[in-house]
Amino acid sequence: MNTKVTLFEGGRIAAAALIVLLLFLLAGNSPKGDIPLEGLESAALPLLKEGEYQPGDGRMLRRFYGLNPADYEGVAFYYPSTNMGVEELLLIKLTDASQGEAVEQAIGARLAAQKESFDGYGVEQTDMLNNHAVVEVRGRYVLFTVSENDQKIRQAFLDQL
Amino acid sequence: MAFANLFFLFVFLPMSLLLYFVMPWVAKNAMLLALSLLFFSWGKPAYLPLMLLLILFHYLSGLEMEALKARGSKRRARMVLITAVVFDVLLLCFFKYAAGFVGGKALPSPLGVSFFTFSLLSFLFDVYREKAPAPHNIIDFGLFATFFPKVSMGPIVRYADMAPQFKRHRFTWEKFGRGSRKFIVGLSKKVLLANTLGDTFYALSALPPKGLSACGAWLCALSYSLMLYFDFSGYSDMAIGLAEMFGFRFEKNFNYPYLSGSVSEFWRRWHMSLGAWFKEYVYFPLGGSRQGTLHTCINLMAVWLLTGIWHGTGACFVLWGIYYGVLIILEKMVLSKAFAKLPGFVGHLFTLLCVVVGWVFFFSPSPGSAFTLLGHMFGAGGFIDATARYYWASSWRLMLIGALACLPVWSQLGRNLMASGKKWFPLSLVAYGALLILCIAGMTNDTYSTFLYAQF
Repeated sequence: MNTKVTLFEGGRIAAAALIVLLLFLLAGNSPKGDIPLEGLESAALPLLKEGEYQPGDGRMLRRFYGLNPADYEGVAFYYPSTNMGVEELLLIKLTDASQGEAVEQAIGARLAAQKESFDGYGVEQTDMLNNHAVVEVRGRYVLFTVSENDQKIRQAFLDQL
Repeated sequence: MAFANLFFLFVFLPMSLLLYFVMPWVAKNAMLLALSLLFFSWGKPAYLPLMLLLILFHYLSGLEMEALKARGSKRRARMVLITAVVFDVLLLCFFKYAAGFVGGKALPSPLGVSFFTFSLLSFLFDVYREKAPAPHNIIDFGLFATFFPKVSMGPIVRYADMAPQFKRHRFTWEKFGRGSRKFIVGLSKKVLLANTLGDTFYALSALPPKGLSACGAWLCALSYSLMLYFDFSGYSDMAIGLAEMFGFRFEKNFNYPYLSGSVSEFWRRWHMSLGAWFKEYVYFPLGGSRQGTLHTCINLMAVWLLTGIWHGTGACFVLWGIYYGVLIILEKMVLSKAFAKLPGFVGHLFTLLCVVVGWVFFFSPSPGSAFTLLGHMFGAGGFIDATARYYWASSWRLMLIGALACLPVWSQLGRNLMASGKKWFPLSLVAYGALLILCIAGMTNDTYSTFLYAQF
């Protein structure tokens, strides 16, 4: 009986140790070509202005960008929480790097539509859209943000890659 | 991989059923385990070793507790339980609340981490309390941990409920038919109702809460209430139906919650497996309602705070948990006596009001926007405006269909038709077939549709 318990205990502790080791290995050795989108999201999201954004889903992505989330490996999307807001974050992990051009065009169209919406009456919003919008396509990863912290978000995005 | 997905429906499910049928009885559980591991690691194969190690860790923990208890070392068995529970809770917190950060890099959450962790915790408690024997077959135990119908979004099946089925579950055409019908009903709830209601909700929630009149704000909250119900109960029906196709039986997870006459009753009918889990493994061990009024209140608040945090650590989820803790305490202490003297519909209306208000905290991105929307629901933005008129005019039929679909009459009708013998049987087959075709059409049109509870 004692031998059995010792075996179970040893196996249990070894399994627990392997789980911890595995987590470190998964995080530490994740190749640069395969960064989890959640990591990019966690790095960028705290830099958006609190209360100015809300999470979007597939339908909102289609509505705002004309993009189908099913076409990509992963999408994280936050859009303004009010009609007068412009704070926005879009992160896409492409299935294939060749999708980047079409996504960039869709982002360009969204940005142009937003500028048109606020042109003539939303001075602050127009300034944000003109001067604080960032589009970055790196390999299979796409970032689009409109935020006062646009450069910090860009840097956080690049640091993760 | 989601159930409401053409790949799942036309490739994974038929292949799974075929492989399951051709396997000899002794290898069926092993085949189901292999399929479940494939489902679990689909899209995130790096987590396959993690799941295998978790299975091994819990399997050995169960055997060790049993062996220690058999030789009378209850204290050591308790230590094994505590260390294993702490390990599970830390792992859950790591993925859920620390965003999986290790060494400056983040790991995404494994599929269904909140759900399978709670299942594994139930295993530890059930074995420790001798409600079920420790598993002596690691394949059966692995199947309990990863069975694909339940691994991503529940129901949170307790080990003591599933363990007796490993050796007893048998495929029958009757079970297969019943499971298929449940699956089609669940798929219809998701694709035909939840997704369509989502159009109204997402359109209204994209508007600034300050711009909504009372009618618009109520439509926003009501459409979410219906969408969440059809989304999550639809998923649960699919999971229960799938399990039944393979010969397993899971308890229902929803029991017409919007017909409840009190908030407590609502939570006995909504996400029943989570409620039962907290009751069995948190509320009762804390003392339940046996240690006086003050202790009961503290225990209820603890359970509801944990229920809120289980959904997420955002301030809105914490507020949502506290809201229900306070409501249920008030109901137990004061309101139930008052409602007993009033006509029954008062309790129903009060419950609906409380639940819809609660969902506002649930879906709002911040407490500020939740309170703003609530303010507008109660008149801060006027009674009605052109936006609300437009959305009510375009969605009242859908809201009515949704409300009617919350009633038990339809499932009763379906059961009666199936049981009515030859006369109506072909009609019911046509009805289920038509529903399936409509769902496939809906899924083809709308290729991306996640389940709301998948985020938890």
